Amino acid sequence: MSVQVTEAEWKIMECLWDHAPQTMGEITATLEPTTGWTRQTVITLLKRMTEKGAVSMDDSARAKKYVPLITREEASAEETHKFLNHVFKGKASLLVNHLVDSGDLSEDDLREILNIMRKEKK
Amino acid sequence: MRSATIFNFLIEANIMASIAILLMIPLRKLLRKQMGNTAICFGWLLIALRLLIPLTLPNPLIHEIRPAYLDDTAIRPIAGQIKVRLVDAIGDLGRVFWQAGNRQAYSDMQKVAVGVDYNGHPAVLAWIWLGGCVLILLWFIYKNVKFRKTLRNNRIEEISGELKDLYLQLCKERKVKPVSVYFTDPVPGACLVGVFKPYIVLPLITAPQDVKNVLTHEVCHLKNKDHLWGVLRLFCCAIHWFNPLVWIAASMSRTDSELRCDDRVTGPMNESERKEYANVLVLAAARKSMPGLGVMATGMTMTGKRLKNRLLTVLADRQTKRWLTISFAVLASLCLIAAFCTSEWGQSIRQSVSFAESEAVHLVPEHQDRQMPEDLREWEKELWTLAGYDYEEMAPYRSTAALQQWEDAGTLTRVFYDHDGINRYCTFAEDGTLLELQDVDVPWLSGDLLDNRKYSRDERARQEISDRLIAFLDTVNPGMSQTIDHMEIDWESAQDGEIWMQVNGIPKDQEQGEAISFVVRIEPDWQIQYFACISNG
Repeated sequence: MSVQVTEAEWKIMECLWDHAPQTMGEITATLEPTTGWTRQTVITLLKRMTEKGAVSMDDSARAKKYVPLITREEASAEETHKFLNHVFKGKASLLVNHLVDSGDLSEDDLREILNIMRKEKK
Repeated sequence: MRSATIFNFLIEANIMASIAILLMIPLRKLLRKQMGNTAICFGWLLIALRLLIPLTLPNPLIHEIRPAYLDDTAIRPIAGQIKVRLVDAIGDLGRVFWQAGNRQAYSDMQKVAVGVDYNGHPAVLAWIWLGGCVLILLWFIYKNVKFRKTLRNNRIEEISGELKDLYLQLCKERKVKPVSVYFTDPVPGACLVGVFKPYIVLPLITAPQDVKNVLTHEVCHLKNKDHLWGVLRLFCCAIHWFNPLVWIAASMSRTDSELRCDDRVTGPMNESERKEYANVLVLAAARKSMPGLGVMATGMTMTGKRLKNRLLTVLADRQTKRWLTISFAVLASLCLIAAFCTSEWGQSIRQSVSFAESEAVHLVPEHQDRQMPEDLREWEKELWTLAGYDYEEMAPYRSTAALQQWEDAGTLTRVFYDHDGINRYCTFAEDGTLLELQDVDVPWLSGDLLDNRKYSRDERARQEISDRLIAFLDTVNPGMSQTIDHMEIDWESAQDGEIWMQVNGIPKDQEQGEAISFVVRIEPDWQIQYFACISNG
């Protein structure tokens, strides 16, 4: 079952993907400088994420610790799928075409994409 | 409320407002810079007032456009023109069908024309209009309840600490009474939500450096009372749901409210602050679109060409021409007053009519010396019963209008009867004699003419019909009865087990031509569906 993660929750997931498990205080300390979120904000978000199965809480220690239940790849795949459907009507070719046309892809990027496609073809 | 009252209001409001909307569209495009967004929003407000207030002021000139042939004086001149032209157009279309040999379509068109003319169909249309209003309102309610519920579920917390202090400071600077502000995630963008107890929704992902600009924008919405403008738009769209221009105007006025808000936000800002604010707008646009038109919330985001124009407006050094703004406001206000002047002045109605509703029926205008029968209701009951109708069932609503189209016969009075959307009417002479009776539901028009006539060939049946019609005539118009030599069946038609016939009264003085004409339903039961004294016409 896929878990939908909002933009704000994604920031917490990024934090936990970089390093897990983490306590609520640690997460707040990491995010506060860039987002301005208070401890209460992080508590509310973590509670919601626990309920939807994006993270789990380990309350065996005195300070509760959180670990991600979905990997970055799983979440990325879900987001990419949503993005493709929303912006490019589900067509990956349109996305690649757009990236090539806009000049956002370097030669290395293009070479890597071709390698991936060759592997997939075999 | 009569359907005529609704008809007057909707026709007049939509014609006036549509003209104003069509003027506003180029005006806002060409003169926005010179007049400013406040003046444009003021224009939209005046249009909304015309659409929503069922007010009518007397106008000495409006009488000139009243159609000459308009029985129902409850229909005011502008609506009357629409009604008469609509009936004419339907009639013309019917004649096209007739010429093409399509008798059924001709008959259907006739029914529609008669129905529109004598209020049968306007009553049905009034119900359709009301149904549309209710559906649109229910849709709006559904959208708002759903939107509010989503926001409530996604609410994280109320702002606090330094951010709250910043917000209170902004409210103080802008002289606005603070409302609650909630961090919410996910949400398409910052917005001011609600009508009676508004609150601000702030996306949790708003970057700390952008918060001040976003909050200022919403505080300015509050200052402009844009949450109340949303209600006006909603009611305009719900009541005038059939007019696409009203929907277009609602959408445009929403955009203009945003631009007016930007004006207020950037008014005290310097150039670099404006650039910063423009960046916030671009970032907001990159996320998602604003809430739909039916949702009671302001939205900060715009996309595409509208965003480009918005940014240009924000960054531009605006110099509105004060004289132009004031001239527009004064002129538009005068136009609004003129747009309400749709009713006739005093007693100058051409038909010199006493128009009455409900039980207050006065068939005889005061200046007349001859009198109607004393007990009008008993008289009406008698003639309708003789014609084969149940009078008690068919008089929930009545109205009268004196006529002048038969000038030789003096001032005539026509009484309408509405029962279940089917209209009937009688036309009386000044002394109360019946000149005309018609059931405007005319199934006989679509009946098949019978080659092998059932009643015309049966002398006894013919005599019975003749005697019965003469007896009817003796009662309702004794004078006319004396002039009739004999009755002649013109045609017989049938459909779905019903048989009708037209019977003409041949006068003793043949030079007069056909003096009277009846259409009678013979089967399954006796009913006079049409009666007219032609010599009076």
